[in-house]
Amino acid sequence: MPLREPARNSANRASPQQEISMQRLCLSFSMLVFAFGSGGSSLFAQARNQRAALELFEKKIRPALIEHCYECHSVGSDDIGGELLVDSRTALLTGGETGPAIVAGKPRDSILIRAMEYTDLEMPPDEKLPDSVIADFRRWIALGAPDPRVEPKGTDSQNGAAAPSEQTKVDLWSLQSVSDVSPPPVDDHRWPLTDVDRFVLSRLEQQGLQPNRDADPITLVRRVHFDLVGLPPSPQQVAAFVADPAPRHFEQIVDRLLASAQFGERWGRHWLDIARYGESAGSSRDVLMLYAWRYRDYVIEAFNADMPFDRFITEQIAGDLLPAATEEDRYRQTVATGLLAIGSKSLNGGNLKYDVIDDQIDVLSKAMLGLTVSCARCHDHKFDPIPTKDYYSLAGIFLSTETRYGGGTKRPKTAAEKRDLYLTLTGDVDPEVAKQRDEVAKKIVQLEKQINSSKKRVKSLQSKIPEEFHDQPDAEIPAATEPKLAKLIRQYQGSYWVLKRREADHKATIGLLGDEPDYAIGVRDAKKILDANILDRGEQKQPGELAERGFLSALGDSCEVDPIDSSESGRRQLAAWIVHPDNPLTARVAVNRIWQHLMGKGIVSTVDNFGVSGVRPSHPDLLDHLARRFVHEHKWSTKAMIRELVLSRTYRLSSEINTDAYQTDPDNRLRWRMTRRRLEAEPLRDAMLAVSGLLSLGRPSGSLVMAIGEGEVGRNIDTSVLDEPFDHRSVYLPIIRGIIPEQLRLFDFPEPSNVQGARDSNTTPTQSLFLMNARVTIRVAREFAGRLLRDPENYSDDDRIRSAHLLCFSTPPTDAQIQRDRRFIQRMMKRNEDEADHRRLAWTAYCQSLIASAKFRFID
Amino acid sequence: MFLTRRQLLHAATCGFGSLALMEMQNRTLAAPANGLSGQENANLLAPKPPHHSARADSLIFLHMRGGPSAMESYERKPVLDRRAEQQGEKKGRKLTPSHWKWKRRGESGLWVSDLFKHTAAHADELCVLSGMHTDISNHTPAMLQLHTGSFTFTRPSMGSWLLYGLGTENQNLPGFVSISPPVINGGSKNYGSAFLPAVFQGTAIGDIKTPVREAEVGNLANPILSRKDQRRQLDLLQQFNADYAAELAGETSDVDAVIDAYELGFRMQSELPGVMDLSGETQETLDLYGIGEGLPSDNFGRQCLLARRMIEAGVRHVELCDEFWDQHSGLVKGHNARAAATDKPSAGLLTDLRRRGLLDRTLVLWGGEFGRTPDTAKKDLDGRDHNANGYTMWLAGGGVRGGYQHGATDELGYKAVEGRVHLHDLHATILHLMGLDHKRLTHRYAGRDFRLTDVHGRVVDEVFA
Repeated sequence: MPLREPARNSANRASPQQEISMQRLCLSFSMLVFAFGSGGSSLFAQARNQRAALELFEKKIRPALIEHCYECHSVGSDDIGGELLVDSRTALLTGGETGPAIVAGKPRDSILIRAMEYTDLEMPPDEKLPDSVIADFRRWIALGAPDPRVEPKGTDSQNGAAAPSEQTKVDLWSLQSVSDVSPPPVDDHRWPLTDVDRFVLSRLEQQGLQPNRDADPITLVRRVHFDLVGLPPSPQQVAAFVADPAPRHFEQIVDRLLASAQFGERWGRHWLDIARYGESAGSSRDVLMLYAWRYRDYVIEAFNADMPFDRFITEQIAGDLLPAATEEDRYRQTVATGLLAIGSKSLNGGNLKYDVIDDQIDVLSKAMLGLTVSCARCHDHKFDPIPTKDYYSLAGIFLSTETRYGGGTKRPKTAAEKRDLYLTLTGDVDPEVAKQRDEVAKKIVQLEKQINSSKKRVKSLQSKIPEEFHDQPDAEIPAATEPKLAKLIRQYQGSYWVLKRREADHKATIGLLGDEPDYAIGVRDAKKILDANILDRGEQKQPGELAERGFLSALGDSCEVDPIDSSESGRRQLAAWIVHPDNPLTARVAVNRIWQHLMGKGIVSTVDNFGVSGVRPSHPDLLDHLARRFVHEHKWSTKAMIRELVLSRTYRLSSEINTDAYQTDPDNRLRWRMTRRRLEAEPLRDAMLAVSGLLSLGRPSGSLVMAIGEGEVGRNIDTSVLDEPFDHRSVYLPIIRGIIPEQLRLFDFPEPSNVQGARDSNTTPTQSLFLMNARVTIRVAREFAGRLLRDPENYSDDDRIRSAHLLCFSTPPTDAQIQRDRRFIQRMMKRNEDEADHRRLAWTAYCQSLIASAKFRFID
Repeated sequence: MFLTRRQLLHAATCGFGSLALMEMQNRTLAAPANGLSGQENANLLAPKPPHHSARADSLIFLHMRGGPSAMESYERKPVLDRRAEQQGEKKGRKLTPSHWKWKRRGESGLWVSDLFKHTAAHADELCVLSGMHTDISNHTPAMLQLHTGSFTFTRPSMGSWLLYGLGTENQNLPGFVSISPPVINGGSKNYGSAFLPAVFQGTAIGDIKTPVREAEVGNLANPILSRKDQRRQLDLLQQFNADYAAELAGETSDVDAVIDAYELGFRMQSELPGVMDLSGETQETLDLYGIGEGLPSDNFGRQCLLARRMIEAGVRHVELCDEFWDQHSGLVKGHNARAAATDKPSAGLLTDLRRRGLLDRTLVLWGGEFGRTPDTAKKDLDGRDHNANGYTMWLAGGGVRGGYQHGATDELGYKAVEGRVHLHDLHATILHLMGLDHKRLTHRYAGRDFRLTDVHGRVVDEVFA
């Protein structure tokens, strides 16, 4: 019996009844083929078989399941055996700990049968079922195991008598319009603070569960700091809130954090995850994209300015096509289209043009609509109502768009070349001016070469003459000097002047250069506006009929926008369609992401997939309520939405375990507690820098990628600048796809070539080794130690220990802990007393264990 | 050996004599007061049973980067030799004869040229795949496809899939090691885990530009503390963790995982340098691998010996990498140099694995991202270009049929015509030999199940012993 569960950490796994299994959908598909696809004469026979099989299910299978299996294997069971449910077809096909319970059409491969036969498992445990019943199951599975039961909702359909309506393409929940739901009534009127709480509590009460108590003030203030700005609160901020934990004070803290410049750095990074932000081509030839950082800064600023989300989306898709009131607006809107250019691309091989378009469709559909539209590149989407034609309707929009992402494998050298590869944001883009610039630039390069050779000559001559003549180009040469030496000195003096002259020339020429224009990567409408041919299996060699530019047909005409003119790409209309108030996906997807970042897990846990193969929402009404409020009440304000959620009672819940609730809902799907979270790579690194005092809060100008210059990883660039200390916030680390900074890579930084809205949270020994041994960790620990030792407020080692705990954990140490820590430090000092700075060493070792600890890494 | 987390923790803490750790261990071992089992933080790398009984437990890939020539090594082309200097498939290109002498080798009588004299002695172990083909003939995308199955999208590498499916035997060592990988040609993507959890990504030792004797694995030693002091520091750190777990009272699996990961890390930093230290090897062994100051085979010899030591210590998959076999011109000189660097070490590895009884359970794969054309545009006929349509790789050990040549290209060597094995088929076959069904080894990402072989792949069972 294979006991493998080829999934990850059980904590991350959606429970079987939540998943709509792919196998099931493949099955429905194959059943369709089975029923209708195999030629005229047998068609009726097939349909008859199908009906007979369903009849068999109703007469024999369903009663047997209810009688013998439901006690331990249904949603209503107290303790679900082997994590297996048998009360819906999805559950049977998904299976439990030992894998799928049945394989449709293959009774011999079905664990259910083997268990009934008492082959590997023995089920039901009390007594083997009669052979005739097992034979019924075998026959039913052989017939494809048709099963009209949909997933039971909670306990209300545990007798399996649910209506036989299939989840089909047309009624995909996320495509239904967002409903206007009033908050449900609740029994406990005192607990809810907001409508959100009423939705949450109502579900809990239905299950007979109670929400946890509120988190203590220290936990809460720490939580909200990390959630809103990604940095720990200072000990003073913690103390102030502990002294006055009133709701009004909490509200003030929330408002302060929302208004701080660090907010955009935290929430902008969330967006950059789904924008698959990177600063190089990745894939085959990892060519740097020098100006991608402008898009990064744009995102951070947009979040800080609380740009309405619909505007934010619109600018990223069509900023270049929108009217701009000021030059500044035009600049910003152009940079915004960087979203469409920063994707990973295969510059060497493949089908670059269509791959770039595919990447653009992929990012828009997953990030904004929560749909995997790019599945339809080669065939109609297997599960979602997205025909290939729709894909090419969108593809036409991007086929009519010119994407500028900078250099390919050939490095642009001159201003003219750059003008062809980038979007130019400022300055005179007149070709004549550019030509002049190039000539000046050429002269500069030439002068630099000459200066180098002059320097070499001066150096070499200098080594041959007495020291008193060094750097003395005008010194007189005494007549008595030996002629050979005198000649050398004269040569030296001559070369010296040449060098000076060239250096002066160089300086003057650089002055002539003027300011280089600001470049950006992004898009603009192409010269040729085209509809795309539908490509069978994505093959360019087989162009099919033209697909008129447009959007997803599944939404019908619900979101009316301007027609796409033959003179424009249609990006403007696409943006308007996505942010249309009646688009059922955009707001749902957006508020779900916000929820996830605050509560640990989305209402729809597959945050990038609202399609059939995604997981259904845990609180569908709440999701709709939030989506409506986001659009109509908050006018797409992300900050207002965050504020509403953070001020809810649900957000304040403690993360501790409540035995009853845990047994009913271990995954915390119903939100009886706050989900404990691990800090992602960036806030972990930022917190390390912050407690050590190293953190530099200012925004660095540009990116280190600019300092490296045009070129390709591993071929023609010097990346040593990446090894130098970098004390800015992690969002500013360069994301070169082939060289992801170690501290990001080791801590589950998402692969920047893919849209990934939910991060993994793995704990690995390589993370431990990083925190134990990496030079950057030791550096931080050493600075932290220095800060503690220097601080005049610290009168004693006990003060220092207290202060260290407060900085790292926001909680003071107990007396016993202080004593233990002090003993560690004293012993460490003693053992290393031969070392000159043994005190600093001991404190460094101490500080390192604090920042490496689990408590430092988790948000309760 | 299948250790539970608790047994591991127990094994880790015994012998250090730290009272606090004992306390902590007691806490971990004791049943949680509230009777909850918590969400067990499964060790993702723990050995997992295969889909079916495996023929090989570990895999060594001798990666001949750049594309070695088949008609110079394992696929004799008498017609090509006879038609030397005649026009090739296209105008301006001339057919190039083989530049080395050929002999039948071993009992099987496989043809192997003098380019690989040492490996030729193992002809009866080799399962030569001469009908290989792949989709693209540029180095980088071809190399990505070789490692991940895809050259356009970022996908998990084969080694990551192996770890994902099988876990690894030795928890104190990385399960997937790439020795001296190239920085270009896709770089870390070739051993990356893409959307699989990061724990499955390969661990690089050095890079292609650094001789392996100077290569280091990152973060294996604390630069300021002695090992003893670091253990004391770790004890304090584990006390912080234990304090935190005590505060949480109940669900402590996240913290337990951190505690475990530190003990694992600590043991890994003790064990890995030991595995990488070749000083305990006999002179005879060093000679066998061609290791010696100034020898052309020194670097690759060290790589091969490291591979054996790692496989012996329970690493699942080791990849080695040789410098460039990409001779568009200067083929004789270039291929001779590459063979001087790799032939003896590769043969030595096979000998050593065989005599230690490891070869039966270790699959060895040799080859490049593609092969070379039978013709050239060069006047001196001393070069060949990229050929993805037909080339040779070989397998040895782990359940494959030795002394066997599977498949062939046409009489000149342009295209695989018999026993065609696409790269996807090779991946499916390797997974199969390792006990995994390439169709069942899936991972759900972005709404669909992904495989190493995507929607392709056929297990080439003709090559099984």
